[in-house]
Amino acid sequence: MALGESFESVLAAARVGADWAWEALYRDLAPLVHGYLRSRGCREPEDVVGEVFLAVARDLGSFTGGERSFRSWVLTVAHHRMLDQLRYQSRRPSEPVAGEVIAGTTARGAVGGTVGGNVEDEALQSLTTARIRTLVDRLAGDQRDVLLLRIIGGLTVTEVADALNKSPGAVKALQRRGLAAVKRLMERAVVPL
Amino acid sequence: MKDLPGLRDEDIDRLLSGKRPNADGFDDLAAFVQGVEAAYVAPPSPDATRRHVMAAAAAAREAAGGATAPAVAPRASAAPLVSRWRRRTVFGVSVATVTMSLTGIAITAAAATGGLAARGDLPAPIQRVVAQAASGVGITLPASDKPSGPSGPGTATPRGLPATSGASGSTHVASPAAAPTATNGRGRHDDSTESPAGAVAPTSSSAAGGDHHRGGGDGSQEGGSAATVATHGNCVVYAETIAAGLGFNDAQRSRFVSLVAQDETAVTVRVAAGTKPDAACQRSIDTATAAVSNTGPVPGGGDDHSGSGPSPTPSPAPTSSPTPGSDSGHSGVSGNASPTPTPSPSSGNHGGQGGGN
Repeated sequence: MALGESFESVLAAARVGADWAWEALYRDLAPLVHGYLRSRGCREPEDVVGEVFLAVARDLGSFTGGERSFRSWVLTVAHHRMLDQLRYQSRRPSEPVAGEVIAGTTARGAVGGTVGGNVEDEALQSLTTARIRTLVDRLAGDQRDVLLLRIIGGLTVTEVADALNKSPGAVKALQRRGLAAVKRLMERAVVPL
Repeated sequence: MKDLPGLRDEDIDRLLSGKRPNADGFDDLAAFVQGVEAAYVAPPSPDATRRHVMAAAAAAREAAGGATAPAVAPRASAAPLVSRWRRRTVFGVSVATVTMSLTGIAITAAAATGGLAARGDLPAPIQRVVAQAASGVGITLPASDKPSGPSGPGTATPRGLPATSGASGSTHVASPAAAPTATNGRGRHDDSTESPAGAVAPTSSSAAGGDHHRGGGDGSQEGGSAATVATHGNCVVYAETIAAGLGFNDAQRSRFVSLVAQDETAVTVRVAAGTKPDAACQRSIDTATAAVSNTGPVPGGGDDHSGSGPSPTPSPAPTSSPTPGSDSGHSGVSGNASPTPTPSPSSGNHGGQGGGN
């Protein structure tokens, strides 16, 4: 849900701390940031979302550009926060929770509006979500970053390249190899959808 | 292009943006892309959303510094924030403005009142109160019961501080305590070492006495009532003016002026260039001239203005001696002319009378 023409006025209000403007920005971008962080295995994704928006608020005065640039910038901030969080997690390992448990919980939260009350459909959706997660987890780190930023964040090749500090050519290669890896996994029925 | 040879970059862009690619055989990848979005994209909890929005807005306000909130506030919750912000800004400006205004008014009032009090120009009751208050902090001001005019108030001088020399540099002949030293040939510019006992006037009366020349000088320079009213200060200033042309050395010059200064009856209106002073002043000057001439040069005189050591010559004008005016037959005039009861001719009432401002 993009802000469109109202983005400029919302951003101007956000610069001076209007609550309504920040709520609009948050509702537009927080699900993407939250999803990206979850997909990359952040242990406390909601907390990191808060840190991301705090950083954005503090540095908003230096931002210039349109809505797409803003979205790219926020996801870039989220990516860097995510890396910090993963480094922190690697120093403090914790007992992992089974993927199916998380998948079942998040599937209901993520697509609750579409699942409805059908238990069979919900179970099928949970199973599919779990398989998606398994596929994503099997990707190499760079491939996963590129595909998730492009799919979840909706960024272009150039924007992803800027966010990951890579060249557009490298991003194109990574996304192609990542999709090929997903296709191979599915074709071998390792992780069928 | 070893991976996905049948898929062009444009097809990948379509695929990753959730659209079906133009090439066949990639429906599984399209399903994967849609599944990823469904699997991960989800808003944070309502509680987290509320906390994060508030924190971000607060951080933005802090980062914005003095910026004002937008007038457009679609949500009701934004209105109180806007009002509070503006109230704070306006209040801050008001406090600063009021503080500066009050400070300016206070400084102006203090300066004006202080000047008037020093000159004794305040109304009598106020002058009395101010003088009493000032005496408590070591500043001597003329009392209200002293009439102005020839015996007008002198300039206020903090107790314990040497009398400030006026433009004419006559301080060394001003104070009765300093007078002996002045005749001892002290450098006339050395205010701080005029008296063996120290140039510091120990009492308010002596301090005031130390100022009477300055008061006269001020009166002669500032114009006003001193130009038309006969004051002792005018006479002293005139004496200082002519002293240089009498052929005296520094010590004699100092003694000459000192003698005139101690003669309360020596009053005159301000003497313009080329004119003569009033008779009372002229008599005092003649008497002082004769006294200094009869005494002769004072050894050890500080011609170099450097304030050399005290002269062994005894002072002809000790603090306890009567004024020269009384010695020369002008005492009657002196006594009658001075409306201020003076316990001692050298008690420093010159200061009070010499102001003439």
